[in-house]
Amino acid sequence: MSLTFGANERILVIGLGRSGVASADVLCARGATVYATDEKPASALVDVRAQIERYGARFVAPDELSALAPQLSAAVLSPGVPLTSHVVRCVQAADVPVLSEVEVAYRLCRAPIIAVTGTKGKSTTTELIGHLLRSCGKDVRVGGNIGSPLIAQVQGIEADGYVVAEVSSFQLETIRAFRPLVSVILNVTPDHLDRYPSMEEYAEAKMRIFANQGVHDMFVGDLDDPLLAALHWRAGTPRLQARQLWYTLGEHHQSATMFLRGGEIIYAPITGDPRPQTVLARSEIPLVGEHNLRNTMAALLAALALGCDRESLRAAVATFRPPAHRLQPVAEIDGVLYVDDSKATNPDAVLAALRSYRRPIVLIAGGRAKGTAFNELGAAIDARAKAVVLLGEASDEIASTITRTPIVRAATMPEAVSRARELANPGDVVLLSPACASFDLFTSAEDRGEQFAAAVRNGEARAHA
Amino acid sequence: MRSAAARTDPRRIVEREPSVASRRSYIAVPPDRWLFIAVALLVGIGLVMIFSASSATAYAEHRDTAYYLKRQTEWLALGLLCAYIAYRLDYRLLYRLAPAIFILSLLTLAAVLVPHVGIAVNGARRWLGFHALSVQPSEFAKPALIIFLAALLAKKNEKIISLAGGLLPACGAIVAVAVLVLMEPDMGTASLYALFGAVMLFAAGARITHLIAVGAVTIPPAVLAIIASPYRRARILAFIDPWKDPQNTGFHIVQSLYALGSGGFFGVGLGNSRAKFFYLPEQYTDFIFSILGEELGLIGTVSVVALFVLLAYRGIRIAVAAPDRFGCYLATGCTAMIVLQAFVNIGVVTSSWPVTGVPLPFISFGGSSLIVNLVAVALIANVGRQRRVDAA
Repeated sequence: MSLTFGANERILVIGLGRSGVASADVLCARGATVYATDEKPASALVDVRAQIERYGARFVAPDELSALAPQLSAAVLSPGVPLTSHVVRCVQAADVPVLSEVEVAYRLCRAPIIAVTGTKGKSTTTELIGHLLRSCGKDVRVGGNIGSPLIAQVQGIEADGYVVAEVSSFQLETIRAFRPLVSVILNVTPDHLDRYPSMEEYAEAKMRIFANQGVHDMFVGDLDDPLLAALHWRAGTPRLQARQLWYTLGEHHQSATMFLRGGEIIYAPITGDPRPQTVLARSEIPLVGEHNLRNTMAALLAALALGCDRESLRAAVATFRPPAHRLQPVAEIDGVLYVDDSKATNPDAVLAALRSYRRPIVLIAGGRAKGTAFNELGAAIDARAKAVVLLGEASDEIASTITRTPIVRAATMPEAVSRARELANPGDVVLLSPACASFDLFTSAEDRGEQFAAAVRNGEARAHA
Repeated sequence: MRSAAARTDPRRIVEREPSVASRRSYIAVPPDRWLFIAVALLVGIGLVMIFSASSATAYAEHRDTAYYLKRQTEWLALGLLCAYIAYRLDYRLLYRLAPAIFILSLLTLAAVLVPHVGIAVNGARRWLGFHALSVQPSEFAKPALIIFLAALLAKKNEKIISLAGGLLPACGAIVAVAVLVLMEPDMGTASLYALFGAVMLFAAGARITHLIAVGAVTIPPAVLAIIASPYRRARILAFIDPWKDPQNTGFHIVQSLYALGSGGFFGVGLGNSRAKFFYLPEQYTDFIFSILGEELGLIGTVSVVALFVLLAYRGIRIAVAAPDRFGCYLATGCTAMIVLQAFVNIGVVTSSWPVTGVPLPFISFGGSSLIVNLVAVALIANVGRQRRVDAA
């Protein structure tokens, strides 16, 4: 039985975050009969319910599911919903295939997909690959985990374009046929161990990205990551069918397709003329930090594998600007890292931000609530943050969901930053990730981010005066 | 207290720093030891057998029993020099040089066919140069073809799965060389080109149905060429039943089988061959394996076969672990060239393959063949040098 996601099919969308809403939109537009469900309390779902009903989907409460389940053709799972949740079990009990949103996006997509995963650096690398391919004259869409859902991006792209997708290990858990032309794993470091029983299982979930790849597909990986290096063709584990393109900052030159020599990024092509060639000098990369050097190398390898020429890539790297106000490091002062994530205007994005750091986090949050529930956020703050500074209209609402974490309140951004500075010890992160819109105190999310950065720098100037 | 907690924290089990073990496993390796041992033993056995098999002829012709041993030793010195250069230079340089090497090779092959330029021996025009220092361009065309095919296939990459865009141009290169050699005439060498060429195409991922189709188109003309030429027809008939005419067309094979048979399990002893006393022609070149079997018995022949199998195994391993496609195809082609030639030669000597004049690599007397095979092994080792310990 092959799914077409069109008329005559009844499809259930599980989870009504951005991904779920986008799935409902696309599936309705394709003519499928769409149902949607979510385990959140009905009061938190009023807005999204209205939205999906406008598309033509029908909301089904979780306890009504068992009656509907046997009639379904498939269920589409949003990234945030665990496989162990009640609704997923209920649908699976009726033998209905549960597919993740990326899987559905893949099946609907005519263009080849470049899929990027990893514990850190996914967003930057995904954006950079998109930028590089675009400047080589290709039609490119970028989507996935953070930003816009993949399924919204694959509509209307032709076979000669490319879709660059950021995918998380959660999304990879429920893929079946998902087969990117190029798969990229940036790194696999301990993270999300709240959701995975062991590091091995977390790594396994990431490695599903290449599970369906064939010999004509490509894989890009970091040779300096021990878990990934074990996949190297010479390590004797024939798990990877795809052609392997490795990059390294270390001494393993001969096993890598891209490496560093004398401050220059060298590309040793696998096909064609095998002589190593300089792509660009390290100093030409505008992104700072070793992790960004690695991200750039991964993006370069993916672009080179897809036929971009070195000269355009060199120019394109120099013009890349990282996404601002999205987990953007602003400064590191007295051992404390200040991060601007002002564009995180909903709780989901803050959850992602909280998961991005292993260091203790002092969170600055708050603003104008957008009608979303903060319950999950409160639990995550308790689990991840050492303290939280609340700012703006939604302060009380957020505070009510927090049970353990110390709460400090501030009226303005400079005050919030100075309170956060007092709470942070060297080695900590001060994270502005508001979970709310900015319109109570600021003109826009950008304005909020800039005020944050200014406050951080002022504080530094005063501290060193 | 803090460090104890850190140690038991499951998140700390995997750290970013590569372990000492994994770091050590990436240190560059010396040349492939087993490949070196196999070739050194084969060359050693070759020198001993050439001396033994050729001494009677050498004395009769030159009043010096070691005449052919001395010549072969000179060629060996030259061959080792060439091999050393082929090993030290980065094989990646050959990618750019491939078209030039190939065209040069085609020109020398064409020159052989020109009367008064090419030297004819026994009716076949195969040599260039002066008789004392003559070379066989058809031997040097082997590595030239391999280098050219490797570069072409590395460039074509996935296009090899298309017939017109990938496979046929590669076949065209093989046919160009093979036809020139066929005109010498030297059908044995020409068919070797086709054999190792097919191995390279297969390794590059050509569709098996396409390869079968190309074979189906090539084999009928080859069969026709055999039927049309009386001496080739006689060779095929002699292959089918050598005992039908043991004094004439079957003479070669019958003498070879006598020699192998009298060797038995342990052989008649080194130097004790009788077939070498003017019974078996070509006894120190194409039929040296018979003398080896006569003097060293089944033990000796199986050892030589085992050394070629070892060479094949190491060669394939190196090809699989090559860092780029060009190196992979280069190692594949060189390995296939040596091993296929060895098996065709052994096949001829044991009457499992129709008689064609191809020497046994490293063992038969002949300078061009020795130099070419040593260079081929050096190229395999050169590609293998780019490997890491963990693949060995």
